[in-house]
Amino acid sequence: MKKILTAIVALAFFAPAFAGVIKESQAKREVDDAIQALAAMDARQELSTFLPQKEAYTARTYCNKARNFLSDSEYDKASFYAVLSTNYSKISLYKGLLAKAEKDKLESALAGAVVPRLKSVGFKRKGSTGTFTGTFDLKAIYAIKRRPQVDAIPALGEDMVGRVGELAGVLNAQKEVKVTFLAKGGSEDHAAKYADSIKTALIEKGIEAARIEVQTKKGKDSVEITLDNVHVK
Amino acid sequence: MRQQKISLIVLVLSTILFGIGCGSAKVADDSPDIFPSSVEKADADAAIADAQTAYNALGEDGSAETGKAKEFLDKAKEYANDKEPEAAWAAAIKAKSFCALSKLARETRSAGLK
Repeated sequence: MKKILTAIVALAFFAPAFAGVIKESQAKREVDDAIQALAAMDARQELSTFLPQKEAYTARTYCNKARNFLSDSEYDKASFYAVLSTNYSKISLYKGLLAKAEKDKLESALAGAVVPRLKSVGFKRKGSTGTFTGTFDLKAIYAIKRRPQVDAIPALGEDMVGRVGELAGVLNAQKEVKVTFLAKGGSEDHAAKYADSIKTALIEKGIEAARIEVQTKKGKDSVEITLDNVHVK
Repeated sequence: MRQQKISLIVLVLSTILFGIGCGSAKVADDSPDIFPSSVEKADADAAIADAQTAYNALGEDGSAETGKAKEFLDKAKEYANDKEPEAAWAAAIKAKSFCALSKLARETRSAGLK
């Protein structure tokens, strides 16, 4: 009699642990799957900037909830959050892959458009190489006809600002392109000022100064810009 | 002896009632943001309808994810028939989640991404 009573009391105590439709073994398996899916998502370092924040965060919090519910022997809830966490981890990965592919596609489209972009702002391609050259006189740079005083160099003309913007777009997309200015002027000071006007505008657009090499010499006022190693595919 | 029998019956009855109580109690659940503390039949039916719509939109494509969506949708319907709204609701939400996953998986595979 005493044994029966003990058994009944024990059953009453442990009964809540067996309530619900999900078994402990299934919940454990699903929580393990969720942990693995989360680890697989975190392992994809190349996608880290493309993962959707909301889904990735949900995957993480649901995985924690699943583990907690498993510890509390609430298998239905553990299973629920584990399955959703696994799916959110995979959804994040898929969305990350799609986002990265979209970015790659846009970059390649941009690279494909490099030749017409550069041609539209006055650059000519040297054969089928990755070298482009454009020569810009005072009219093109400053919209003036006469050589200015060396201490009164005007601001870039509107057209040149547009050219610099387009050029900066290409240079920002292709970090390996090297830029060389061959500036000419009535004096070397003039030439240096002309080169400096364009160089400053490019730096303002995010181009590193170290990428631009400047040579100056006396000659007809102009700046010849050469781009080497342009990727045109 | 008679008193012992009565005590035993009372204890058995109280144990059964306690077990039933624990199985169906609508205890306030403060931590999860989507698993509700109480699921009514209408909630389960609505979740099943949503999952069915998502599954129909997906169409059978033979993928593992779609297979899982169908499996959980069928389970949800079974639980609903067995008058277990909470289990039906949870299975329906899982089915819906697999539908979303399947849709993205298909898109990713067709783009040749891994």
